[in-house]
Amino acid sequence: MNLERRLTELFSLPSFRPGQKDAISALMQNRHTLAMLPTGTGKSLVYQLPGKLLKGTVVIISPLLSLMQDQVEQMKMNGEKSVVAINSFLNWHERNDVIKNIRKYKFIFISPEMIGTAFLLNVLKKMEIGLFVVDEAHCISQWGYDFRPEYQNLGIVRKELGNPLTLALTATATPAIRKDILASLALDDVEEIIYSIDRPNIALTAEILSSGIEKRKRLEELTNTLQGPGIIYFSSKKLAEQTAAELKQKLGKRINAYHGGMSQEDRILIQQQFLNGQLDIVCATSAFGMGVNKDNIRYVIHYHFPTQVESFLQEIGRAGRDRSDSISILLYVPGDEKLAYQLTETELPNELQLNQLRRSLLSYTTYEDWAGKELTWIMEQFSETQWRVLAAYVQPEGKTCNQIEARLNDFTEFCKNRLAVKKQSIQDMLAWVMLKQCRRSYLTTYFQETNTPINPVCCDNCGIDMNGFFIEKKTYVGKEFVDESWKGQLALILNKRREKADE
Amino acid sequence: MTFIEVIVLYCLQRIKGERTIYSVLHILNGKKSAQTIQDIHIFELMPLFQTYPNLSRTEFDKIIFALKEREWIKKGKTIQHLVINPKQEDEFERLLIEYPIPVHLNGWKYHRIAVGFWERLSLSVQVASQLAKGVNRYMPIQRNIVVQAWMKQTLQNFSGDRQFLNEQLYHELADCLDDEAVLPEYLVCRLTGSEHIGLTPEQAAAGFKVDRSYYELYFLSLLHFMLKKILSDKDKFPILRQMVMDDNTAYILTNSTKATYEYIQKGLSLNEISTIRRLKMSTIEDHIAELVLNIPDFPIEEYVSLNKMAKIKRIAEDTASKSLKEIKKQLPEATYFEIRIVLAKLGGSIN
Repeated sequence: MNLERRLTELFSLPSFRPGQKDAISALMQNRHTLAMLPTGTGKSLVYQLPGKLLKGTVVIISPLLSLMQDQVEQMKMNGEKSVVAINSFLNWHERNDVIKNIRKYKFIFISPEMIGTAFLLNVLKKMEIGLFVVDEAHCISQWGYDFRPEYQNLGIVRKELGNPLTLALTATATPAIRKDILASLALDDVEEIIYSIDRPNIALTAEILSSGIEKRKRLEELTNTLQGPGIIYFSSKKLAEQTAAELKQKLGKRINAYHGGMSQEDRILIQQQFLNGQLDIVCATSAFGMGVNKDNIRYVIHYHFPTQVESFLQEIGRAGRDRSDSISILLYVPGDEKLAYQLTETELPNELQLNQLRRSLLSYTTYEDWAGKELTWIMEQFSETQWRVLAAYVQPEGKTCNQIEARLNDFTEFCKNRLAVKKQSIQDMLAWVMLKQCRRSYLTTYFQETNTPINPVCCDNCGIDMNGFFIEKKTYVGKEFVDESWKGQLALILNKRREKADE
Repeated sequence: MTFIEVIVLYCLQRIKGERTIYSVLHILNGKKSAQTIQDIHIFELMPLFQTYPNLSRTEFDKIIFALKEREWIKKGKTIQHLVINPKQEDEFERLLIEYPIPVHLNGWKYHRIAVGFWERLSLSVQVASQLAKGVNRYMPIQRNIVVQAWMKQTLQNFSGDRQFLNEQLYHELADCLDDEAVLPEYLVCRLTGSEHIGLTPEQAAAGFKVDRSYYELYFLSLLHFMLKKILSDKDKFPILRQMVMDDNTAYILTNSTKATYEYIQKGLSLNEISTIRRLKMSTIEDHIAELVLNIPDFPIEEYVSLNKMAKIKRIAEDTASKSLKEIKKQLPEATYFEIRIVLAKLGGSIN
């Protein structure tokens, strides 16, 4: 089969990006596949094209709700009508509707907690699953930086569905985590398509500054002189918002914040304005980026300290998808990592909270007895994230209190291990910031890649010329609006033909 | 002074310390309780119903605190009953001239359909703009699948050439918004077309150099203005008309009240309804109050004598008080229920 021809026919694309064809070929030969492709290579094509060619439904497990929505909208935009997402955004009625007509859909996105339900699993069992896709597959590994307890059951789900052809996708996974992915999904005889995490056209720099004030000054300087469009990442919504407002006022550039606390309508607008060149800079939290397919992002600045190498790579990977030169700049003030440590510690329940839960279980025998009396106030002792992880791990429903207790002991052990993994991640990231040697080699070594990259524009330690990244051209290409009357604006928006009377 | 502070002050001035400050929050949030619905009628705050649905209690407390700090308001009969500082009344009148409450605002009448109208309108504009360009690959700015389904259906039913939907839409919008009493820019800047993405409310407010709460209320009043115009001349705006959700419930009633109303229409007494529905008498009385407020010709003579009605009315007018307690004090023989429904019937007509 000529895959290039199919690519053109079905997606109007001229050629594959690195890695896409290898992974697709493996799937077309009916081989389970683990594909690790660098960020920005269009991973979704790897299941969309085979999905079109193979018999049966394509089930895609995706960890993030907002990402799932973006993927569905993008596929619809590209003309794929038979695509649907089953997640908690649908109300009971809508979900029933979708399930009643489930055979109509070729591509079904499902959240991991949803596919674990017996009801949905029974529906899927009666269908022919042509391809089972686990997106962001590193979330399955307990040793990974982004472990999701809901992913644990996917191995069982696969078995229940009769071991369908499976594709595990990730952008960043070390060999140990890749091994864990395969084991957890119970996959034997797998074709592994592994590409380097290195993005040669992104220059890597880190700047160590003496204080928060210096850091802010430097940020202003950079955003004023760097060629946009650019993204600045923050760890807090508030800081993203404040900085956006300040920079906008001081620099007169078109800047806006983007974070998960904004309404969905606002988030879509900001994303689209950025794509459309109406914004130069977005001050964002990690909520921004996935599903933002903008080719010409020229720089990514990290104003906060990333908690792990993997998420850092994902975030800088949004730059330079057009393969033109781009730059990543991390701004660091000694002590910045403390906040990262603190965040990590509050993500998981601590000993104190767990003991409180244990004590409350003592006077009951079953989960139901206990939950009726104690659940509400106990839940208040945990943050939302903490409780989500706990519930997904312990799965207390239907258990006796003794069983829960036993699970809790395992969970305590698990939390300790997770904390150690996360602390190690922060240390690895800190080591990268402090590095005196090549920053690129450190990253490839981290992923145990054997080839050492050689780049003309590499990193600050190898020596780069920043001048290439300063402003050359204006980014704004849209029509100028402000001068028009409201009717003129309305006519422009609606692409109305110009009539003499309007002018 | 932010606009929302003006709005809260305005509400406090209206309720004259006869309700707690949180009744104002409930009105702005659009809480559908019998009490809130009664309050907006008694104190003539219908236009402001559900105008700030996302205002949180914390934000509201901050506004109250700021107003107290600057001595706009002071303690009434309890610390939760705040009234406008008499010394500031004149200053407040001046403020209302400077920041008038939008005349076309009608929260009570349009709160159920305004948001849906905006979702449909903004998506229609985007779709029409793209169709005119012949583009069919783009990200819809409305993700709500119900709105998307409506759009699909509407396009299927569209009799004209879809490519020219933009022209028709332009003329209807230009016609609808062309009025000296409104600022169409407030709406137009939010619209998305094929070449241009609309602004967020925050960006729009910054662009017009007004505070966000001011912008949001004027934007909402513009939607209300459009709805009124569209609904009053149905043939003039065939496309825009389709964006207004059908509102089959002639009266705005809660479900439970609807059920009670059906029994009343069958001629059952309140006691009988209470028994059949296994609801407390006080609940049924809440329903009656809601019915009186929402159905203009709902008769109350069955529940209160004409004599008492006249007395309650006189006291309410004389004391300019709408506090149930105050009236009950002066007319002990009337029940709270009787006072409530008479006040509800009088609505805004006393003063």
